[in-house]
Amino acid sequence: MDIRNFFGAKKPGGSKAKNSSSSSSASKAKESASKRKSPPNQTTNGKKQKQRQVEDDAIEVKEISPTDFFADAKKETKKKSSKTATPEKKPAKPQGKPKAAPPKPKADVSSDDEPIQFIKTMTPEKKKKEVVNIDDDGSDDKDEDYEDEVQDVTPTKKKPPSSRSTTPAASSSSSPAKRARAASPKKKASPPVKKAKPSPPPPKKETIEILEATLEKDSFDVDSSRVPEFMQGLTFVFTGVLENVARDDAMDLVKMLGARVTTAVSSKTSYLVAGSVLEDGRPYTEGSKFEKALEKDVKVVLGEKKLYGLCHLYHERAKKEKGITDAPPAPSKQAASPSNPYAKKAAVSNPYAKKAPVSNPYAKKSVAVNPYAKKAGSSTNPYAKGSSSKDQSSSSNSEVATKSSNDPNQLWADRHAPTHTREILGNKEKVSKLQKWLGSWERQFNNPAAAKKTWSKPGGPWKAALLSGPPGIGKTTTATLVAQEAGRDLLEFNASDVRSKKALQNGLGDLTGSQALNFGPAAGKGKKAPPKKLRCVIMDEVDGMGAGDRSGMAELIQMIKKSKVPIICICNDRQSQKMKSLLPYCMDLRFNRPNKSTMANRIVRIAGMEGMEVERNAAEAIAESCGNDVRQVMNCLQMWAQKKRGDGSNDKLTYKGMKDRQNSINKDEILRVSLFDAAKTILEGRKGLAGASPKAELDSLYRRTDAFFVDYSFTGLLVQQNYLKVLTGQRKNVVDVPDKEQAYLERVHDAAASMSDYAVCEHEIRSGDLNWSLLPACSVLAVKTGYHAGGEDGGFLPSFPEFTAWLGKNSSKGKKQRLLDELHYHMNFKISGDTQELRQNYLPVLRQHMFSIFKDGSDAAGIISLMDEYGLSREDVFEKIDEFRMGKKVPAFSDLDSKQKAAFTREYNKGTHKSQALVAEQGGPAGRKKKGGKAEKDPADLDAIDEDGDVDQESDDDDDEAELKKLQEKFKKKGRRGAAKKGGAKKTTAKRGKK
Amino acid sequence: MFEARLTNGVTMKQIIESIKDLVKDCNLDCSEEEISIQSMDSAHVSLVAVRLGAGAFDHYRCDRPNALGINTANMSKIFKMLNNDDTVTFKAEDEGDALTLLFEGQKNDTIADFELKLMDIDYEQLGIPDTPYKCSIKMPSREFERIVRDLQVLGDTCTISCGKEGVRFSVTGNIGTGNILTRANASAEKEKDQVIIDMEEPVELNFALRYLNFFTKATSLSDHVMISMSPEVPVVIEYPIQDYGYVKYYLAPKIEEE
Repeated sequence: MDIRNFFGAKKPGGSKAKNSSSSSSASKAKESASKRKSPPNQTTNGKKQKQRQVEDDAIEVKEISPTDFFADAKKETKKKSSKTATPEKKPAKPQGKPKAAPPKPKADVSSDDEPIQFIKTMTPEKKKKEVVNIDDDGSDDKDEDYEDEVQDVTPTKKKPPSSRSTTPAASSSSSPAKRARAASPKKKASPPVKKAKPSPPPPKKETIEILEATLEKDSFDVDSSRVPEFMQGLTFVFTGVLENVARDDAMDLVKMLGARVTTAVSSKTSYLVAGSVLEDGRPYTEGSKFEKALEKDVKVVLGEKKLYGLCHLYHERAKKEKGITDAPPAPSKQAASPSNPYAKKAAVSNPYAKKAPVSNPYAKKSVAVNPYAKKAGSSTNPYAKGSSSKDQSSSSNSEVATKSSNDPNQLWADRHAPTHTREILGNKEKVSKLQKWLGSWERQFNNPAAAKKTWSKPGGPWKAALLSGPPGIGKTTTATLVAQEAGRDLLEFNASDVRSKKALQNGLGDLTGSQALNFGPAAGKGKKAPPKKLRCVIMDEVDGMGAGDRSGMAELIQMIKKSKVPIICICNDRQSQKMKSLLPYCMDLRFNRPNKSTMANRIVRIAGMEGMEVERNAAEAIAESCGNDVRQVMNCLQMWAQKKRGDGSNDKLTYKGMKDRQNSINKDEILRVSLFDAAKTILEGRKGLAGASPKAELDSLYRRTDAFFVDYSFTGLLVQQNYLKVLTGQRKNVVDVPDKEQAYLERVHDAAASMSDYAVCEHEIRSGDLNWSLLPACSVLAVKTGYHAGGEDGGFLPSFPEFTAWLGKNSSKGKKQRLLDELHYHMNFKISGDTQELRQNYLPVLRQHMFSIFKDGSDAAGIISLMDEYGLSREDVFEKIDEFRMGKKVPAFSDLDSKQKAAFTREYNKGTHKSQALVAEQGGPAGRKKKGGKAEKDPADLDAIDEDGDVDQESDDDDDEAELKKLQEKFKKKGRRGAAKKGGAKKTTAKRGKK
Repeated sequence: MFEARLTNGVTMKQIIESIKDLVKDCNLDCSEEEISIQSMDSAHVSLVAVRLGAGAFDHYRCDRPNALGINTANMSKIFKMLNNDDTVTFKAEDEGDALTLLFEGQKNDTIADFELKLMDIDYEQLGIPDTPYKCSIKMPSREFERIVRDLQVLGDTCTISCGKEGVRFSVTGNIGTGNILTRANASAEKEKDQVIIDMEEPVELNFALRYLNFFTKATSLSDHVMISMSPEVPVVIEYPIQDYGYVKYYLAPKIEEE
């Protein structure tokens, strides 16, 4: 390919402008920040001309083919990131090329001498310009392009190629070395860059950058790549929305090529891949990642086409390297290594060949059973060295197993279980805390001298420890290893043991007070007794002590209090209600999931031991897909290995293959999602799907419909609460663009319509005939709402989804309804309207009137007679009527001067009133005279009056308020747990139905 | 091939009964000279060792050492069906996965046979050092059983102290304390009533009564029991089975209360 080709494509308008902005070096940008707003056009223009010339020159220079540049580039990159280090052999070619190239650049330089100087003096100005560009970025125009070019030119002279735009400015002022560095980052992929080509020898790196910048491709086919993982050692960060490809797909692409993808820009980042706009519609230049990239001199790749181009460049380079050196195939990437050790092993160990009845105690042949591991009330038996119990924790066993690894059927999770505490992944600090605690236990609690025996204080000392954390991250392993390393005799109880009060008393009662049976070296002649064998009890899965283990928890706590033996409890969910009582007695150690890069290291190592090759990215992806559950990762790997053996394929585990098959080994992702995240998934609709394959689209649709079921009684409400937020976020992009605005409004309509359809369905489900078969329809309608709200490209919910307001609103609606009913009940001997009438016509007038009387002065008698006329009590006026104000500004009775109110009350209490009579008539308690209003709340009263279901309403209502409060608290506390129950009057009945 | 015929079948029944409360699964180790069982309880507080020499059997044949893993509860279910005067025959193939039990009535008019499935149990034999003990007490097993039973009413920890005057079993509990002193009585008329104390130096140890109670299940095996103690090491409570065997219990002392 001839670079010239790319020239034609020169100005992609807007994108170019953006590019330019990106190139400004951070430091400069900062300096110039103050000057930003004044773009010095003149200077730019003046330079433009020169630039043009320069550009022409450059074009000629460009004759060099990209491959040549690669040679240079290669070297450079090598230096830069030693990871790529290619074997030294290649030098021959590369060197030759660079030399060829240099002369041209020189020419450029000379011609540009002047400008350089100029620039130097002008630097500040320039900076300004650059900055300006950044600011308007989106609006681009020719001017900017020119500016870019100008800038580019300047740099060229000094350090030829640097990304055309801003960088140069920065470099101009700094020392060459510095410049070189500065230049590299900018390579912003915009067409004009080409001029940069005059790559002079020193800044060779830039050459590749330039090429990268120039090259645009429509795609990059991973399968066609002959060099595996040729992008190893590079680190990418993604920002913004790529036009035609989903960001996840783009990430997958580079991961498949061996690069790393991180979320935040750091100095180790090689490229920032930017879409032209961010998710929320702002130009990417406003994003914090972009700014960070400037600061850190990270190169920016704009748009997926340039990304593809970049891939091609690296691919070419890798191929070339490979071709040239031949012998050492792919540099640094052992990828190509042909012999797969895995292949051999396959024959040796086929886990499926013979399904060993590992866990059948009656099968005489089974080698591995340790009956103690499973039997109720028993424990792993430390004396049984040969046993390789299933229990992952009994590490002495697994150690043996690892060494011999005779049994091909053994679970990898066991075979490769840590055999020493230092091998435990992550949570180092907790492990050492536990070790320390165990180490000082005897001194603390079994020492007659230290008679201090407090243990339930929040600050400790504790007689027991509680390890908590998600499954598969090594809690049990930690406990076992720590105890073993402390030389303790280990007893383990887990969920398969009966742990009722009685069982615990029998199993543990004496044990916590007794020494372990130990026949140490015989006691010498004298007094010297063998050292006492210390022990340690592990209560695994204590949160699983359920109904079957009656009073088990209470007994456990009693035991902890008395125990002369350390007890290590293990649970998953320390928040659980069951754990509450235990918490104060235990040292709290919360285990976190090890992070994926730590896990990836171990995965690669273990896979190596099993003769399997695993790409690092693939390892990380596995870790991620398993939710950082070490045990599951091992199981996945083993399954994978198995499958491969079955297929006879010896390929190593690549990121690509991983992605392809991930579905089969994924933990059900959506089930790990919180209610709010689920709602967000639905609300953002097709986000990230632009340009995705039909399969990806379908997957996404399934995922969204599944998300609805995270909590089907709440997700809909959350969608309802938030879908308009998604829409309003997009409004600024369409406002005043007639076509778009029209389409936008139609979407609002569609979304609202499907939300209302949803409500109809939901009503059918919750009320009357409980038509639960409509639930799937609900799910689809919720997703439809999200689709319309997000539009074709998906929406963006700017913040965390709001908790649904419907519950509260519904509750206050119920309350007002009730108050209105009461008022109506009091007044209905006088007025003829129904409650609606009362609300709409009577109340506003009535309150207005009363209020004016109040205001006029204290004509208490007037008000009282009015009240009596309508049968209103004092509470009716001061509390209930206040509820029916429209808007906060309307004055309320409760806001009246308290003296005035007190005077009125005294006056009112002097006489007797109709409202009181009414209460008495209804059989209200005499004592409640003054609280006549309250008395009516008796359901009995209401019953007497309205029979059309309002009673239900009310009682439901009270429930609701209480329940709502509880719910909200619950959600505040643990928004992540989706196990919410539903409130709402409508739902109360439904819930009963459900149960 | 393993084959053994025990005329006095009830002995085996009693052995099983005496260990089944402590041990759920254990290996019946058959060697050329004897059948033995060694197992710890689940909490690793106590250990049972049983030995029944080949001399106890009418017919004994064991071609090669063999470990038969049994579940004591199931074994005991089968032995429930044994009449007290029945003869028991054990049979097991070397690589078989079942143990055949043959119960023959005295008059040869009933024969019952059972097959008990075997398990594979991983258990590493503990080497029990042959230590000289500071104190050893020989007393009637019935007496010991009674003492343990009585003391259990008062508390759950029993202190056994052996001094000049005799052996003192004492217990302290919520409702009070109790002491039972047994004096040496080497000259009792009947041998089975003798109490013999052989003491080098006084020893005092605490034990969980619950376990002692389990041990007394072996009372019917023997007329007398031998208790051997040294400070800080497990106590040994031995029930000899005539001349050809024993049931021994080891129990770790309780952690000293302070």
